[in-house]
Amino acid sequence: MNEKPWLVVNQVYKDFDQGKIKALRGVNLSVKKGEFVALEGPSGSGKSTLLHLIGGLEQPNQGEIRVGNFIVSEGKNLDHYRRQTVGFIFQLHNLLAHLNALENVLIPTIGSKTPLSQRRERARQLLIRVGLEKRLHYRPPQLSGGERQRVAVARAFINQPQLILADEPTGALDTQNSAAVLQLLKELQQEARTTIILVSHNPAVTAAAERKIKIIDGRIIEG
Amino acid sequence: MRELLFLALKNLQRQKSRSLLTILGISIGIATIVALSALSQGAMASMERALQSNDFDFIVAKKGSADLILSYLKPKQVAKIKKTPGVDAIAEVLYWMAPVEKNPYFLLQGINRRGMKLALGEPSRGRWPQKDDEIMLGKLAAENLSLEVGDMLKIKEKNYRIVGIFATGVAFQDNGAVVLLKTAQQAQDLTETVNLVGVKVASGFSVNEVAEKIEQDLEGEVVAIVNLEDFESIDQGLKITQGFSWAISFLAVIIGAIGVMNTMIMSVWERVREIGILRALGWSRKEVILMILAEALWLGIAATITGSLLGLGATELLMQVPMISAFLQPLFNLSIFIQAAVVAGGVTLLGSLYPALKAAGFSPLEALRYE
Repeated sequence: MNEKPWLVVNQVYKDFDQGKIKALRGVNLSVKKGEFVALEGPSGSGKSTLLHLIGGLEQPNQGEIRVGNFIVSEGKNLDHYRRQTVGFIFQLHNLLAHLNALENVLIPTIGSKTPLSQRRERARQLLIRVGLEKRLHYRPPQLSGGERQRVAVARAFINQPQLILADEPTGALDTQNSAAVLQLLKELQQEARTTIILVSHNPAVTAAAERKIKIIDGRIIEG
Repeated sequence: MRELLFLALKNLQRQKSRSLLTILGISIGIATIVALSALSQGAMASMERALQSNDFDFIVAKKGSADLILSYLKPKQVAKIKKTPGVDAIAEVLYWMAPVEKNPYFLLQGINRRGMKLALGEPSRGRWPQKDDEIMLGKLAAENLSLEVGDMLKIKEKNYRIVGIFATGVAFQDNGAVVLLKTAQQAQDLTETVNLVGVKVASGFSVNEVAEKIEQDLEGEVVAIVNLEDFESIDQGLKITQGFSWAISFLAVIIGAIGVMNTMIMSVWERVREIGILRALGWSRKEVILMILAEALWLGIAATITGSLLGLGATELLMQVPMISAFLQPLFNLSIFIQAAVVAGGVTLLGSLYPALKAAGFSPLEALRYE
């Protein structure tokens, strides 16, 4: 039986620089709940733009993006959507340098109604899960590149999101750390049945996904 | 909110020197407000005590005088006051500033013999001056000068025998002395002139009615001061101090707000990318604004505390100067510190509002791309 797509991108267009740059030209994409999808393509192909549109960080010029029952492309309640539904992992860890690992993981939960003690415990468990039980109170400058990215992974999962959007998450890591982070992502995805959309230009990274989608010049050509 | 305050504190700790300099900048303004307000309130309280320390029902001074010491009443006016129905007794007072030892502004009051009891009550020791070369010292002046009844005090080449010590509880009076009215008049070549007249109303008469009658009889020439509000209306010194205090407060708000704005704008521009991260992680514009305002709140709290302490210290230092402490005793009360906190809060709120709105206005993606 065919499962109904959970995430749908329908005829999405995105221009920059007053239409001079056409980043996306009528993109259609369907992703099932719990699926691990990789978007691959060369630099400037539009894969990061598509990820940002799905994450509600910017709006398409045309077309519709739906995640579950939420219409992202309407541009309403995006803060709530990003906090509750989405977990972002960036190429550069984007941690706050003056906060320790535990505090960084807790950042997306500030303002939550869940008691701090419970959130702290979840953050601690996540950091233990990503192998940083001895680095809870280390600040980013005291951590290695791989460790920082693992903190970023824990942060992305803190609000138990249904969707993880990872933009070149291993782009700044060596092969060994890269493999470890990908393995971690797969394990966490399977444990929580989280949908993952990962962007990379590296075939070795996209190979970790269940499905690969190729984008060139703002159009999906495979997947 | 607790976590936001904690994060704001951590954010400020990143640039310790800048945060401390900003706090110091606001603190100087707050310290000035605290010190001036304490002195101004002290002066008010002192005046209130002075009005209550005597047996007068009201005092009469020249209308339009900038200060009581600049009020000059002529004998005809004094006579008219004395003859007004309902006036039981009067005390004629002339102030005299003369150098005594290290104090160039030692305050003497020349009072007519019959008015001394009315003006100052019974002496603590000794008696009232009865001769031209007799003097009665205030309690604090006697302590400061280490003099007692029977000792001699030299003022402007003339020796006075100390015949009594009095205590009114009013700093500027107890730091001074009393001589006969004529002595003070001759010493200043102000024969028959007085600064003010203290009036005791006879029983069965209304104080306000007698005061109004005097003002009517000497229309446009004198003013009757029945209470502290009346006093405030003629005393320019108090008005100037209060006006100065408000002007300094206003300047402190403006200068402090510019300082805070500068700090917060620099801080926001340094953290554009960080704010982008927070927005990408689901923080709302409101939460970003609250974070920046919380940082400003910490600056305000720190400035209130340090500014208040600096103000207390500055006032204490000022009181080490005898000629200031002889006239002024600062009065610290809760309202001064509330005023300081309100000013510091206003300064930081005013200064951080624009940076906060600026930070909240960043698009998450543009902020993330910001280098």
